This record gives sequence, C-alpha cells and structure tokens, in this order.
Amino acid sequence: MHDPTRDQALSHAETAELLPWLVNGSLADDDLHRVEAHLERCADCRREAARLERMARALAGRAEPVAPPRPDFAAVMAHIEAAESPGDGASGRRARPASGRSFAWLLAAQAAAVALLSVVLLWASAPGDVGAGFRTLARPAAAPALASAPRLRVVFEEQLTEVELRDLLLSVRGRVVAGPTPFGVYTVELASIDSGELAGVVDRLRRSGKVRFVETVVGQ
Amino acid sequence: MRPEASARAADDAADRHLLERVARRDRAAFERLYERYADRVARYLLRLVGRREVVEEALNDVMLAVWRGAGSFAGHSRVSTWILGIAYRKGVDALRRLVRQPIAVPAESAENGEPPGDELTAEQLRMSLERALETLSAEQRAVVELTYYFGYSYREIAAITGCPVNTVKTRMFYARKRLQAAWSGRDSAGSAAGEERS
Repeated sequence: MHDPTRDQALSHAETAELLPWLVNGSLADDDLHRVEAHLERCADCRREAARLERMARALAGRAEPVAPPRPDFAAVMAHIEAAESPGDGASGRRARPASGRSFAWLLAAQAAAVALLSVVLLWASAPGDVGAGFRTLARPAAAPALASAPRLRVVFEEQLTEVELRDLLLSVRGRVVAGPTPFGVYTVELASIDSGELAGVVDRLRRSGKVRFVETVVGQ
Repeated sequence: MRPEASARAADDAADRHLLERVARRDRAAFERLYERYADRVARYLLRLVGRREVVEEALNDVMLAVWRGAGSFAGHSRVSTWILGIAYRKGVDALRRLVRQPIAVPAESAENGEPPGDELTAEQLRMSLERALETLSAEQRAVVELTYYFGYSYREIAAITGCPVNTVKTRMFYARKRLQAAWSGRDSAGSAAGEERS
C-alpha cells in the first residue's frame, strides 16, 4: 500500500541518486513512487531527470567500438580442455564422447587429414629411405631440442583440406604430436624458437583464417 | 507480476535447468547456455574493455568459470546475474591490465568556452562522452554500462558487481559528474576515480 509519509522522507539527495535508474526504467515500485512524489514538487530534479534522459539516450545509442567476436563454442571448449589438462595435449585427458552436433564430421575430416599427414611425415622420416637427403621443414631434425620445443593447442577451421593443413604446419615449422581431442583440439609442436618468434607464429596462425583457436601450452 | 518480470522468470528457470545439467558435465547443455549468453557477455565485455582481442580471451575465461562453477551456483540470484558477475570480474581484471589508449577527440570539442551541450553536434557529444568514459575507473564504467546500455536496476548491479547498493550509487554519482561535464561540453579536470567514497 502506498505510504505518503515515506514519500516525504525521501530527500532531494536520495532522489537525485536514483535518477539514473528512473531514466533506465528499472526502479522497483516502492522507489518509483517515492521518486515520482519528489519530482512533483522539485523542479531541479525534473530538469536533472530530463538531462539524464538525453545523456542516457546518447550513451545507449553508441555504436560498438568494434564488432563483438563471433560466438565460437569450439574455441571455448578448446580453452576449457587446455585449462583442465595442463600437461601434454590429449594424453591422459578425461575424454568423453562429443555431444556437439557440429563436431562429428569436423573430427572425422580432420582425423583423416592428420592421418594422411602422419603417413607423409612417417614416410619422409623413415631411416635410410630414398628421401634421406631431403629434409622438410617439419622434420624433427630441424629442431635441436625437442624437449624445449614450444607447443600450441589448435582447432583448425572446419573446411581445411589436408593439403592446406600440411602447408600451414610447414609454414610455421610445426608438427602434430597429439589430438584430436573430442572437440577437435590438436597439439602442435614447433621447432625451437624464442618467445618473440613464438608470439609471431601464434599471431600468424590467428590471422591465417585457417584456425579457429590457438594458444600456447601452459609453461611454454 | 509485470510482463517483463514474468518473461525473466521463465528465462531464469530455463537457465537453471541448463546449469544443473552443466554441473553434471552435460556438454550439450553447456553449448545451449553458451548460445544464450555468448553474445550478451561479449558485448558487455566489449563495452567495458573496448578491445576485441581481449574480449575473446575474457569470454573464454568467463565460460570456463561457468563450466567449472556450475555445481557451486547457490541460486541466490538469477543465472544471468551470476554469469554477468563473472564477466564483470574478468572484465575489470582485463581492464586493469590494459593501458587504455585514449580516443582521439577533435581538439575544438574539449576547449573551454564551448557552447552548452544541446548546441554541440551529435558527433562532438559522442566523442566527448567516449573520452569521459575512458577516464572512469573500471568499476565506475561497469556501473554506467550496466545501467545505461543494459538497463539493469541498481540492486541487480549490486548483485553483479558483488558490492553494496550504496557503493553502486556512489560509483554512479562520481561517474555522472564526469559524464555530465562532458555532456555540457566542458572537460572535467577533476579526479573522479579517486573521489569515490565507498
């Protein structure tokens, strides 16, 4: 029930304090009645409310400073998997069946691509093979110390072909050492580089348009 | 119950159901919850932080916290309030780490002796407001955006930011001083960020 004595108790300062929420329309009924009662007899507060309303329209109508990032559930799951598995990529992970409807075919396609790539790399690195004198950029021999080689967790774009995946890995001197996880996360090991170069590689991958998510493995 | 309150209650009931499933590690429910909140959280973080690359990271951190914390949701607030509260903390953390780059403002709009607010062009006012927003503390800026852009009540903002309602009002009070100085076309040389009396 409306209580006029409470209206009278609301001071000028208290009313002024609540005006931003009068303007945005969120005041609860009890506050609203008391503020309106004060406004009826206070010209200063009415002017202030009108001014705030104009300012609120300007503030609410501002354009986004930049377009918000597009929602990407795969990137979030990759982030979660990375956070929950601080060790190596996929080994020892609490793997669960993928429930995301959009991932099954992605996983199948990327698994096939990586399988193909693995065959290529195994063939190329076989001892005494005809390619012994030929060294690809992705071969471990190019990296002096595998133990110190930085690792990335990567989710590739869904449409990536095996050829594009191979070219991308070669361009950053990387090789797949684990994955995919149920959400399509691969662990990619790079040739030994310094931290500045690592940041550059991560940036290049992000800008390539061929990965949905990339981050360095914790501790790198 | 107001119609919008009824709609909010229905939304919250759906959110709670999803969150209960997320607590049981149901990834389909998590994806549904993500679809409901990703855009809202991203826009909020963007308003607060202003840098897309930071927003992407912060959004992932928020959803990680939701995934991990679903089982500990006490139910004392709406799910949306809980999630935006997480976003608030991640956003403020990110904002504190950033050295915010001031927005270039045409010099003439910041000079003393400008005409009153209503006589400034819309673009001059917008730039002036943007510049004033840049001078606010992360906490003040959050209150302004949650009020004017997202339309939350001061009680909801108190729940989101985890502070008393009087602190919310105080933050708004000092933010208003800055913004109104910009709105009237004058540059505020005060130190609103340090004036908070909470």
